[in-house]
Amino acid sequence: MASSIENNNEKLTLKSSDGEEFLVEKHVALQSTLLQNMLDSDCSSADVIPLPKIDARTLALVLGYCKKHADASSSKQGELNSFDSEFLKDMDMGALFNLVLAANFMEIKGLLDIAAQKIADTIKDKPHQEVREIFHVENDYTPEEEAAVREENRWAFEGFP
Amino acid sequence: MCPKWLLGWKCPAKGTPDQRSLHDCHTSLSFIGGISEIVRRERGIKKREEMERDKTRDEMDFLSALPECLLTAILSRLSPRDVCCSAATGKELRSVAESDATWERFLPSDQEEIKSGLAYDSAMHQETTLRSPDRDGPLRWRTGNLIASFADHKNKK
Repeated sequence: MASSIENNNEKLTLKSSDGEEFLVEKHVALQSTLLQNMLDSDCSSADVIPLPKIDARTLALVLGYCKKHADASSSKQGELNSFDSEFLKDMDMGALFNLVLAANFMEIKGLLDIAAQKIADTIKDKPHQEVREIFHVENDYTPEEEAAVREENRWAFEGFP
Repeated sequence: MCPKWLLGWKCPAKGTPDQRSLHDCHTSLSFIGGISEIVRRERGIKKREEMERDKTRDEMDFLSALPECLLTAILSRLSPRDVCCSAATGKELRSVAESDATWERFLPSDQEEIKSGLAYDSAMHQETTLRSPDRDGPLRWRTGNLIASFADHKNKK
């Protein structure tokens, strides 16, 4: 029993792509399947775990999410749900995309789900011209090609410009 | 380009800097130890320019940063109508919008069993169209075809 408490207090150091280090409790890090696998296979002997694809700003957000979910695992689901929606509120699209990438890389399914859902909600019921602006996508269709795509699924574009 | 203080400076080799190219000056300076202030400053500017460029690139196009599986994860959370519309934004999104992986989420959760004929048999006793994989080789898992077969099945009913 004593040893398991000791294990819970163990800390890991994660290093972001821009060199910032984060000290994380082990039970928080276990929210990430990637880190869990690393710990299971005993790769954690290294002092610092580098996460070369995640910048400090994103990693701080990810760890905030992990901490809340690790600490609240036994508490009410409703509380976590309201935390999740508050967590992504007012987040800009760039931060959301970084978050999805980080959640995918670190294999944090819950975070991936809510961030992908949030991006989907942003483009829901929007005409494709607006989606282009939100995603900063360049229109690489010729006018004829675009017309052909629209014609293919004409029903979907009804009511849109 | 060459700062004033450097003009009066004697190179370790023969002549003053104004008799030589700026490049030589830099080389001599580096040679006698350390990198000169201007070289360092120039590198700083270059690095900052590169960072700016990277930043604008990031801001340019979110989609190209995401692997296809993540684009699928996003699109499959939309309605079928939104997925069809998203195909008109650009070619990259179109290929994701038309992929089976995106549409799989809109299909019934027991689709695998339906495909193999198990659930289908127990649910409805007469129809056999969807059991064809046994006889005609694997059922083609293209979105259009699959939806067509479901629609077909619905019409026949």
